[in-house]
Amino acid sequence: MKLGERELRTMDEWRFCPMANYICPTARHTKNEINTPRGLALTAFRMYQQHADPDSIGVKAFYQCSMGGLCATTALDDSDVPALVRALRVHLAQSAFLPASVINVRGLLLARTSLDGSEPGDWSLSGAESRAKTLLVGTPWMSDVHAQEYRAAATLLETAGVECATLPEPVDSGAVLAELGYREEARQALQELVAEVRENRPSIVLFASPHDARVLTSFADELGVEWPADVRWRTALEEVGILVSTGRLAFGSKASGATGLVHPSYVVHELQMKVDPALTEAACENLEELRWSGACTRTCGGASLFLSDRELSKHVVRRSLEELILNREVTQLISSCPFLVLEARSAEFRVPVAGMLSFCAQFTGTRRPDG
Amino acid sequence: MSRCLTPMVLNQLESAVGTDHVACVGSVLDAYALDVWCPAMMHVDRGKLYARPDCVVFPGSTEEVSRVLRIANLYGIPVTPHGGGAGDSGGAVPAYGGIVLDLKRMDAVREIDSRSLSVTCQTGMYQVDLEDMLNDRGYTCNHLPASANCSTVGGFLATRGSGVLSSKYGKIENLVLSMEVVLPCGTVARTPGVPMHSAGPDLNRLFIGAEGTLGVITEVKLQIFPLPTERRFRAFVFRDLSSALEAGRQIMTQGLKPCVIRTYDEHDTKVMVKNVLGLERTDVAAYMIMGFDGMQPDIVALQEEHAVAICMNQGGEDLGRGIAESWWAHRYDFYYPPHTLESKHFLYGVIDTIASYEDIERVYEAMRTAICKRFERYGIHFGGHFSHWYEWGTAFYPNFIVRDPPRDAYEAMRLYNDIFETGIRAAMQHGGLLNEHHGIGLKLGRLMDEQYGELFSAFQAIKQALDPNNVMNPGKLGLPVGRYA
Repeated sequence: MKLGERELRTMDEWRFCPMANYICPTARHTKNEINTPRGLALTAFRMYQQHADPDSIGVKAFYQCSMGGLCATTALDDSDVPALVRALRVHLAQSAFLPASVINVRGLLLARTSLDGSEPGDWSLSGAESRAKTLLVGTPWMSDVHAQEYRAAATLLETAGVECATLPEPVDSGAVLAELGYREEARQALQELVAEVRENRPSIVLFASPHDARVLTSFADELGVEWPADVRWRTALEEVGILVSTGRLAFGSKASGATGLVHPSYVVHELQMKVDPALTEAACENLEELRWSGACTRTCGGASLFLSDRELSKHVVRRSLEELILNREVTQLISSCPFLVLEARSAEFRVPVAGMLSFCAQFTGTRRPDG
Repeated sequence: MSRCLTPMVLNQLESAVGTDHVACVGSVLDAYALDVWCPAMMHVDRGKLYARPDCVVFPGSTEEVSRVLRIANLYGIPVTPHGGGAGDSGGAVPAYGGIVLDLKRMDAVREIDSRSLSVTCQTGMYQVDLEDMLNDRGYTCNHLPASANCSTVGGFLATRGSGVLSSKYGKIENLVLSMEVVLPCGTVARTPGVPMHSAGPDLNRLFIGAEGTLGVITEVKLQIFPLPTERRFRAFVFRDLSSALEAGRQIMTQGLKPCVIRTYDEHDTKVMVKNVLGLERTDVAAYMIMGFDGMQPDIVALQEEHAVAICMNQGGEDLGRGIAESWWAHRYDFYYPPHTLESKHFLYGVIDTIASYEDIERVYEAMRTAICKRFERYGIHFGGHFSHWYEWGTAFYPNFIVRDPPRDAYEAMRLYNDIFETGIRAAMQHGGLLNEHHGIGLKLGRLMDEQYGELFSAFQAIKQALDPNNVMNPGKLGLPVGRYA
């Protein structure tokens, strides 16, 4: 088992440290020491030193981490338990004790099939301009929420007069595969995407789901895949923000209810993404960005908890969103991450949660004449 | 399957709490093999486990705790209660295997009485969650030890803990109004609704500090306070420790009510002054932080004014508020990565003691001399601070660090024990006591009979009466281990 310097340091610093146990959203539900930052680092240490063999519960614990990184925000250095977990998963993905749910997700991802059983519908977009300089990349096949966000991105871009190309066949960035520890499969997926990008020769790629952009910020180096240097990329949501703030996109109406915006922690920390205030002001009269301890949501550090332990995910997201809106009169929530929307929907959370692109797209009615 | 955890026992435990709430898989057992007791961690570092439970049970109610204890009694299985697992005395280490009883599912707040100012909660609740919930409603427990973020209410009760504000608000036992306890045989008992009555001994105090050896405290009614509208801190340096200790004594004995007095000895003062305050001062030997709080700013200001005058009369130099307030804001930082001492393969510990004002300085000198002399060859660091001040005396909280301990876990533990015994015996010879508000646990049990003398037999008799099968947390507090040995 090979771990990098940062992962080794994280393991050393956390394997006996209980100080962030209370903050861990998974451990707050399971109450089990093995799910805490200390428990994970200790288990990692014992496996790494070959003092203990992996077992089913130990391996499962590494897939029950919400990867939100709240524990990391309490440290005064860059130690990062989710990064350690991610590194361990690369080794555990070959384990005989890998949870069946994770193996199942791998199969679905490789087959480009809906991950939650929902019907994404026909996600092909009419009018996609094959020679456009902007390439919209999405993974609408993952779920109906991903498909909605993908179509909403296209609608918003079209309203702003941005000519977009799309890819006719389903692609995968490899982000979820990488998150689950399937490095080879992730590398292949990303390589295929990069090949498509090279073939289409866009000047910019827009990712409909921020999660897919994450493959470039968090996994590309590890996977050894090079993104074309002459192709810029950003998330579709960032692009929409730019279009609104530069006056190229305006909304015909806006939401009036008290709305909470929930960014998953990977959006904040790994993508360093901020939503342009001009966008939130244009879309909603009363929108508040909800943060927990500066790290936004306590739950969604990616897709893995939702995909690897659906039942646990329900409990964790319900509790965490309740804490996030405590003492607030929020009538709806919006999120930049389709997986958080899926988690909340799966948990039947009492406040409706929508994808942010879909939320904005419902207000498109007019395009500024000077746009 | 272990010897004590037969399929029959496992089945009964699962029936008692639900199959989802019993774990006996290796990785979980490993995770419950230690708290932050240094020898247990050193064993892990060296590829061993000091001890390991046979199963972990997660009860969700008092009734379930009762069922588990009945099963344990029936089969004679040790039960080790577990809260946050943050004690540094091995109190939560399952020394003789058996069942670890993780109480964190029991984290409900039952009632807040805003008229009498009390909160009733289950004891598996993290203190930080209780405090957050109270703060939201304008109250506080004022029980804020360094481990507030990682310890449960039950952990504080079990170890008779002290918080950083204890000089004004008391230790945890001073905050307890009443409790629910599951006795070792499984009987659920409640202490009378309020303390301070004169009907016999205060039985709350029988269970507080008993480290789970006499039963499991499952619910508690605690005194709470309105959040203070004013809380202010101030820092001083003194040319010698005696003057600083005398200033602290006068503040406490003249009826002032500081929430914090924290006086560092010469070694830690030099470290603090240089590394924390960034000052090049060789002429100071004691550093003091004091704080006052309350609901009436004028009273807080007046108290502080008197305390400042006392410090100045003792030759103190006023460093102002800024650095003291910074200490308050960052007082937990030291316990987070990268500062976590336990990550650095050091041998370290805190030899907590307490004494009267008459004795405390001699206790300090005796401990320092004994430890520094005996362990000089290990390059031992020894320094500390005086905190938790009372009208009659104060606690000394020295820590030691050996940066290059023996590689062998057993040898390292031998050195660890030697340092503790040297320090505590030196303290005891000069009027100091075992204090350990982290718990006596495995660490210091062997010294309990020296502290209590004949009364320790009485304590043993109580243990024997309440727990005839000796199932509750065997090996802790120096109580006889009996058949587990």
